[in-house]
Amino acid sequence: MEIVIAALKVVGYGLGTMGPGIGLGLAAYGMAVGSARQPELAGKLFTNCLIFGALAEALALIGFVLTFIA
Amino acid sequence: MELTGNPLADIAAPVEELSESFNSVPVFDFGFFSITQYTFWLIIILAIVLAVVLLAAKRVKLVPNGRFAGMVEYGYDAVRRNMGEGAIGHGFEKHMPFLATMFFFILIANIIGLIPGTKTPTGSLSITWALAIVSFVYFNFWGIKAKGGLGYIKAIAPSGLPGPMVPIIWFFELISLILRALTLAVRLYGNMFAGHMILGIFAILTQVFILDAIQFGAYAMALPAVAWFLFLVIMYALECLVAFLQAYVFTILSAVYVGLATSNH
Repeated sequence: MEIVIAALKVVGYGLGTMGPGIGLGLAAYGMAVGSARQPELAGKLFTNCLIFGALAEALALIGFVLTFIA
Repeated sequence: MELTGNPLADIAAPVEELSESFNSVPVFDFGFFSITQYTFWLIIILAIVLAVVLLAAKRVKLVPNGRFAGMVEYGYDAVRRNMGEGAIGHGFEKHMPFLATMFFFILIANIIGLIPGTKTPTGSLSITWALAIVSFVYFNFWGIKAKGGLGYIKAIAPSGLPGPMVPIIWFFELISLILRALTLAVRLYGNMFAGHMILGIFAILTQVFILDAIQFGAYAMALPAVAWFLFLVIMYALECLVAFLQAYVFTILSAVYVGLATSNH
């Protein structure tokens, strides 16, 4: 039983990374396309990309913590 | 670990040594307190950071000469331009000591941890929590200083919202504000811990194939070890990038949070 619960924690974390993965991909896509069209804005776009990447990543990190404490 | 002669069966066996090598173990015991291996390397890295920065500061001139002082000044200038000016904007000068300290400390800690035989302090959750709480307290302190206690609490919700939405958005923004400490800590810890775990796994794979080949005399079995070793080198190169990137991300997010807390809009 314990090994099943341990395995399910990892499966849950795997499921939890899918949303943030898509979100991070979209943020990076927006940054890449935006800075290709307007290279002079690249620095600002990169900073914004990191901020919203951090927001999206928060969910994956909460999942990572839950595998330890749940 | 017991070898059976079939490396594919051996790699499925649990490797206790690897996961245990990441646990905090006291190396110096003074009775009332003890120093774990992470704290030991933390002290060494503090000494290195101090030595690097103080030596470079001693040679500060209008035009830096010498490779070493130039390198440190280049790093400081990158923090100043990209993080200070880019993320905080107006009035970033007074936050530069904090940002540069964070960046150099985490960068040197991550890079020292890549040398085989050392431990990276940032691969321990306690130390990343300490760093994240320092950053959390810092940006809240400057936010309260810039806007006043009540003003800062009000400014958690972005301005320009329709009236009934304000308490709801305020509540969600408050949660996201508190989660910043958690995500700063766990991002750095997760990246460093998982990276070193992957390096350890590839090292063990290389070792298992070679040991099986030697112990049981089937030398052709050692050939996959070459591929595992190649993977190890590739992952090591990736970890060198991650070591720099995580120091950068931690510092720029601290800068962004300071900028968000102090800006008036």
